[in-house]
Amino acid sequence: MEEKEERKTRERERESQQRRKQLQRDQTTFVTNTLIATDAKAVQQRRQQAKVQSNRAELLEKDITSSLERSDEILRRWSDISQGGIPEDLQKALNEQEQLYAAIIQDKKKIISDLQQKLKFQGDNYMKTLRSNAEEINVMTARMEDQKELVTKAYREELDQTKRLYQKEISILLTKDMEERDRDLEKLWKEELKRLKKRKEKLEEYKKDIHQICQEQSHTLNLTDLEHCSKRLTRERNQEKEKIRNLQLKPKIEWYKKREEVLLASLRNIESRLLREEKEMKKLKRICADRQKDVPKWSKVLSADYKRCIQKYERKKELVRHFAVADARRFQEVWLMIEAEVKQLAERALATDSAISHQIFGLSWKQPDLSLLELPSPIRPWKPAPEETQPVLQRRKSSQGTTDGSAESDIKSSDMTGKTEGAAVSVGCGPEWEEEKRSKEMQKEMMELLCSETDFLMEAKLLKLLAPLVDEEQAGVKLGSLLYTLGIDEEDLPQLTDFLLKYKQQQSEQTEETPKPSVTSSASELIHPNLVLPALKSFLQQRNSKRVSAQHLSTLWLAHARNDSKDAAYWESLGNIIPEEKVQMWDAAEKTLKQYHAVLTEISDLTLENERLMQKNMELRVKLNNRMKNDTDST
Amino acid sequence: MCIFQKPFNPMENKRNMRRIIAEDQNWSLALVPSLSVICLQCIANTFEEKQVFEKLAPDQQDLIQERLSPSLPLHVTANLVPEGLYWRRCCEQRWNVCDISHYGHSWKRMFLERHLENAIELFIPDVTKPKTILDLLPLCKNDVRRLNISQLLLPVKKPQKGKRAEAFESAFVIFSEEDKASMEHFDFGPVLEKLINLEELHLVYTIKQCGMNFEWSMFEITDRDCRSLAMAVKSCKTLKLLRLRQSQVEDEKCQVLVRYLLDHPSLRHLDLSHNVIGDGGAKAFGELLARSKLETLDLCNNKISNPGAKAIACALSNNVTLSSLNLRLNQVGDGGGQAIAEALENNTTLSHLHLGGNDVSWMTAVALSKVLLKNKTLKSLNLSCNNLGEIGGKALAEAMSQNSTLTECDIRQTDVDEQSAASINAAVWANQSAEWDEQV
Repeated sequence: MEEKEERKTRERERESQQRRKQLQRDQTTFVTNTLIATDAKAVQQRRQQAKVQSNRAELLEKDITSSLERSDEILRRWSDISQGGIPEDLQKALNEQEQLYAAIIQDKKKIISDLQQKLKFQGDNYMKTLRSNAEEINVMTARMEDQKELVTKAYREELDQTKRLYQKEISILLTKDMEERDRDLEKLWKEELKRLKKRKEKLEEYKKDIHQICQEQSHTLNLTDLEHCSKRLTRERNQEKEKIRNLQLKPKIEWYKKREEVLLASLRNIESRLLREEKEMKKLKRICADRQKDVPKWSKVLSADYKRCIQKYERKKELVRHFAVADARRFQEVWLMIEAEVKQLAERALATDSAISHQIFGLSWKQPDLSLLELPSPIRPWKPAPEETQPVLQRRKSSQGTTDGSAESDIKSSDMTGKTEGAAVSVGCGPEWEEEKRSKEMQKEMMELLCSETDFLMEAKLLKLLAPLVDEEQAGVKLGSLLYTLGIDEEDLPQLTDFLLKYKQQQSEQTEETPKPSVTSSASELIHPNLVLPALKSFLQQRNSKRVSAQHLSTLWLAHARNDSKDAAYWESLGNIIPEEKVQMWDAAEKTLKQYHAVLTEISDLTLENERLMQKNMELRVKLNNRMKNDTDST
Repeated sequence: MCIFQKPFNPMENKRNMRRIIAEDQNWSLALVPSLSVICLQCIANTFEEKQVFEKLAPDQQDLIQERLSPSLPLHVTANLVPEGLYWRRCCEQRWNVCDISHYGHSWKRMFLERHLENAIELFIPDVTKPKTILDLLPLCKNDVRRLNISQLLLPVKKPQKGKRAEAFESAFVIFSEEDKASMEHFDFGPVLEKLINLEELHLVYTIKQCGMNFEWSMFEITDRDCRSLAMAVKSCKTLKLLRLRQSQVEDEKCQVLVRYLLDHPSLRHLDLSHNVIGDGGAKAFGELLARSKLETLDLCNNKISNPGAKAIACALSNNVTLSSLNLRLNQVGDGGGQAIAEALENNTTLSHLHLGGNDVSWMTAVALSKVLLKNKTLKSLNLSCNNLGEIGGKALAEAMSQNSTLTECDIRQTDVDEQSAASINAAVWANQSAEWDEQV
């Protein structure tokens, strides 16, 4: 069916297109027809023109030939005439010639008129053709218009037809489709209805089933309920029975129960306390462990801090030393410079003094005491010590001071002696003990002695603990504890022994007892056991003071480095190199000199005046003489 | 005129609403132009002074194009305003008939081309300053693709002004005494040089309205014109079509022209119809066909006869580009017709041949019918207005019965008997519908 229809439509399309094509061709053929008609006309015209042209050419040629013949004749006749003859003949000939000429001219004129006529004719023709062309064009356009209308009509018809055809087709198709759709829809509805009906039936069936099931269920439920009830009732009955049986024993049981409860409560209390305690313990333990854990950390941190502080301190100390050295040097330089200047000034003063006394007073000048000038300055060129540790440097300084006898160390030593109950033993005199090499044994013996003497300082417990040990070890431990209590370093031990020895020596000197102690003698010979305690005391005191003084010194070294008590005197002496009396004398001398100078100036003034007066006098005298002369002359 | 209210919503506060009082009863709010429109109007009005056109949005540009005055000088608008409504307005204001389909559907191209054509057509040598046209060239060089010049004026002769009627005779005398070479039309050299997109050049060396001053010289191309035109065309490397009609081109001028056109890189279409080209010119064309890429050659209504046609036929047998040859209204004759038919036996490119009105007879028709049996490229053959006679018609009808490519065969006005004419037409019709079926 469909294929057939498609074929039909295709054929229809093709037909219509062919029709259209035909129409187009017809139209174009009309146009081309006119074109070809004009072409044909043009060809014809060309042919005609060619014919006319050839005719004309023929005519002209004929004319030329005839005229040539005639002109030849005329020329011949002219030659005849020129040969001479009778005038009448000549006249005749002339006339004939004229006639001939006239004939030629007439011929020419005729031709010209012919041609002109032809031209006119042609012009008319041209005009006619133009007019006819115009008419034709008009006709053509009219026809074209007609054609156009016709063609458009045809096209329109064609269009209408095709439209109608298509519409028809479409409507047919539409109706067919509609019908089909309706049929399909009906089918669908029917099916749907059937299905619905089935569903309804099923639903009712289900409903019935559900109803039945519900009824059955309710029956079973009632049965189970009844059973439950009966069971509960029996149980209750039993309980009642038992209650009734137990009623007599009740008070006793209650009492017991109460006690038990009390006991249990107390027990529980105790348990809970125990638990609490335990918890606390645990807590504390934990805290302790934490702390312990923290300790090394802290100690590390603190030790690092400590180290840093120490380093800082060392650096500071070094700085201080450096500044001390630098200041000392500067001080010395300044001192020397000023001294030199002052000495120079003093010398100058002395020189002027000598000049004054020599010239003014005419006295022989006595050299005052030049010793003053050569007075040794209290300062010595300072040599920087090679690098040494701080304490050594200090010791060196102090030792220097003592050897030089400078005030600095004097004061110190005196202080020390004062403090050590007049004992002139200084702990600081290092070089001596350093040079003397004590045998270790001696030291050891000394220590043992010390330990035994200072047993009382130690705790009884410690002594008890030490008792089973060997003597040597005992001594060692004892010494350790002793030193610890006294606050003495082990490094200071040799110092201590040294001190003790010296103390004994001094003591013996003071008491005028001079038992020569042999170096190799026993410990008891080294020092009297009774003296040990006071010696130790003094040593500690001295040590403390030294420590204090050392600190003091290090901090105030800059200010109190020098004893300037003598400096003042020194400078005074330098300043007063010219004694006061002399200065007074100088003042008096100046005064008198000034007076003398004034007198002298006066005198000089007077002498000048005198001179002037003298001169005047002279002049006057001359004048007088002149006048006198004149007088004499006149007279 | 009217009082505007402040821009708050009047619906919110009716008491404070101010009224708009229009003095003009016809005034309505809908007619008040928006500020942007006024601005655009202003821009359009001051288009010449301030050029902000390129900065505007496309829809604003359209609005401007609507409002721009078509009398603006071309040097302002030509390079600035793109193709669009403005140029349409310009064209419609200037010309009554505007067929945009001839101008590539571009109003701007149409306006510029016609403007330039007008300028050239009104150009009077020695009177009009060449600058008037040279100034136009840079403005329209991009858009001009075709120049269709329908007249070219001659230099003005002195006596022409004023007493024309009296001076006519003397003027004619003076003119004829003057050197003819001095008579010169517009020189296309500089124009073709500048127009970088020119593809077609249609020229007619005539004057449209000569009035009573008719002279033959007004309707012919001079030697110098011919030479300058040929040089100009040679220098124009984009030209595809050259049409020089009704300009009395004869053999010598044709030879000059063809000499310059040899090996032209782009020329495809040459039309020298309605001239007076004879056999000399035809021989030159023969040479041109061998040394160019011409596809269409139109020489209708000339004076080519037997020898010329033979020369063209000789070139045609070796040519591989020419597809259309028009020799309508010449005098090729049987010799030429047979030569062309022989050439077509070897040619495989020519599809259109017009030999209408050429004084050919049945001999040519027989020769062509032999060709039609072999040739598979020829589609259109026109032999109208020839005297083919019954013999020719029968030969053609026989040939057409075996040919399946020819879709056009014009044998009207050829004295062919109706039977063969009908059979030929039927065959052509069948071929046509077959071709049409192929296309579908």
